[in-house]
Amino acid sequence: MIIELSYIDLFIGIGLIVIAIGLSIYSRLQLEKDLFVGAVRTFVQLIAVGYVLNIVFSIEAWYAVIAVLLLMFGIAVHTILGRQRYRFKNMIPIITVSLMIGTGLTLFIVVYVIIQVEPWYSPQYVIPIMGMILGNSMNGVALAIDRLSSEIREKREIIETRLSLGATSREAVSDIISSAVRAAMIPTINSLMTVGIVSLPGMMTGQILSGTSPIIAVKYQILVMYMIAASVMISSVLLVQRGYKQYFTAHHQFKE
Amino acid sequence: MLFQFRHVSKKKPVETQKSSTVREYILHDLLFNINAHVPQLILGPSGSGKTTLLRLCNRLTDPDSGEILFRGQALTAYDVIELRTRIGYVAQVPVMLDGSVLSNFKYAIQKLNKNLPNGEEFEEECKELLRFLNLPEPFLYYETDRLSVGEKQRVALARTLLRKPEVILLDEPTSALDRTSTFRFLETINKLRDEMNLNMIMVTHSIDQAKILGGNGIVLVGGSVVEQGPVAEIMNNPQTEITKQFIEGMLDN
Ligand SMILES: Nc1ncnc2c1ncn2[C@@H]1O[C@H](COP(=O)(O)OP(=O)(O)O)[C@@H](O)[C@H]1O
Ligand SMILES: [Mg+2]
Repeated sequence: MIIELSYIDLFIGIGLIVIAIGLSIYSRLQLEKDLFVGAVRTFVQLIAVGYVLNIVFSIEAWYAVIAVLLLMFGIAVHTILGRQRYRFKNMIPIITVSLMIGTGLTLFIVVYVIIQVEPWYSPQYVIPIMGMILGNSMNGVALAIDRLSSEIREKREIIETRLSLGATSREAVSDIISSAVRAAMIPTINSLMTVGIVSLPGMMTGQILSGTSPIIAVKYQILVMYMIAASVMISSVLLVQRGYKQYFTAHHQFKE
Repeated sequence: MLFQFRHVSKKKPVETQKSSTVREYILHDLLFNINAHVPQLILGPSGSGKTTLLRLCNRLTDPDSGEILFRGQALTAYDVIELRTRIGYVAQVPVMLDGSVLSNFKYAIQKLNKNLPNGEEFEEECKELLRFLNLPEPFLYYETDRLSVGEKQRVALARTLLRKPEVILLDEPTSALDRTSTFRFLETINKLRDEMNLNMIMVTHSIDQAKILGGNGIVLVGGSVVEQGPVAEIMNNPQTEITKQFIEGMLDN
């Protein structure tokens, strides 16, 4: 049995935000403005997404699904760029390609090999699954590039020392490459360790609230965890493998 | 001929001020030869491009124009990794890799021999080299962050020597040593040259060093060669006013 939320219910829910804003004012935290703007944005963004998805689900056309996926990609790449302190050459194509391969491959395996949806563009599966792997991969990739760029800059002298001792540029940055991939993977690995014990994932909670049996929800959640791990790993490994090369010439020297 | 510089120029990669024209060059139209078996000194005030000149020799950086030959062949014709095995470089500021002195040494040789040398034998070789550079043997097991700058410079030199290069590029290797240590260091360098049959290109600030080491010299000022020839001749009979001033300046130090 599903108890549907009405808009009136949501407006009563605003009471929760009012409590938070009240506390902020009372404690002089100056968070009230951010809380207010955040609450409004959450409302508007999610309602908008809900209606867009509703339309896409009802037209059931492959091009509508592809359009939504491309939009999601654009936003992900934009978000990653916005979080970077440093830029390197070809950053946008490298991010885009890494994310596309990482999430695309994972999506393919999950949706077509495991779940085997029909038709192939079935929006009910493709969009939320892509949303989850893309969101996590986006965070991972953002962390990986930031770590990669900042460490290569900071350790320039150590890298040149290694190069002078006969290392290739790949060998000279191998520790930085692993540290960048680790940075990307740590949040995912942490959630693999604690899922279900410390937190109930949002997707599973949502499914259970909307009436799905916990057993079915849990099975989906296991798959979700695995696909996130795979996608973050593939995206960030591809990213650092391409990314470090932007700092070096083919002759194992720093570009100037 | 060890190295031939043919009209080698290098500009500053980042052009911030558009107004200055001459200052854009780090090195300008270098034209000289470096002979084998004779120590080659690079002299000149700081900022004159000495470090950049050394870095060109092992291709940590490349010229914007001109050509550098190594043993008669363009530097760019060699495989870079092989080149850096044959040409060792000890940077001005010694950079230690994480870990012990021994792990630094192991890093240096790991690419040379496919199979790592027998542990004990290798450690003996390392200790011998440390003794040779006036460092106590137990240093081999020290963490590198415990070393002073002067000690690091010598460890960095040892790390490069273990690779048995045919040329060694030294960038002011005695800048952190006192007079006595410097003197001992130079003696060691002279021994090295004889025993290991090592070709040496060394940047130095000091006139004493230039006198002790002898060989040929190049005086760089503002990225251009203003004087070249046997060090003794440059010292005794500088051809340009600018060299005279520079030599007097070195004497003051
Ligand atoms: N990568 C670089 N980018 C910008 N300027 C540089 C770079 N390398 C060297 N320079 C400049 O070139 C000049 C010569 O530097 P350097 O070769 O280190 O001189 P020296 O070793 O004689 O003190 C300096 O003015 C330095 O600031
Ligand atoms: Mg210098």
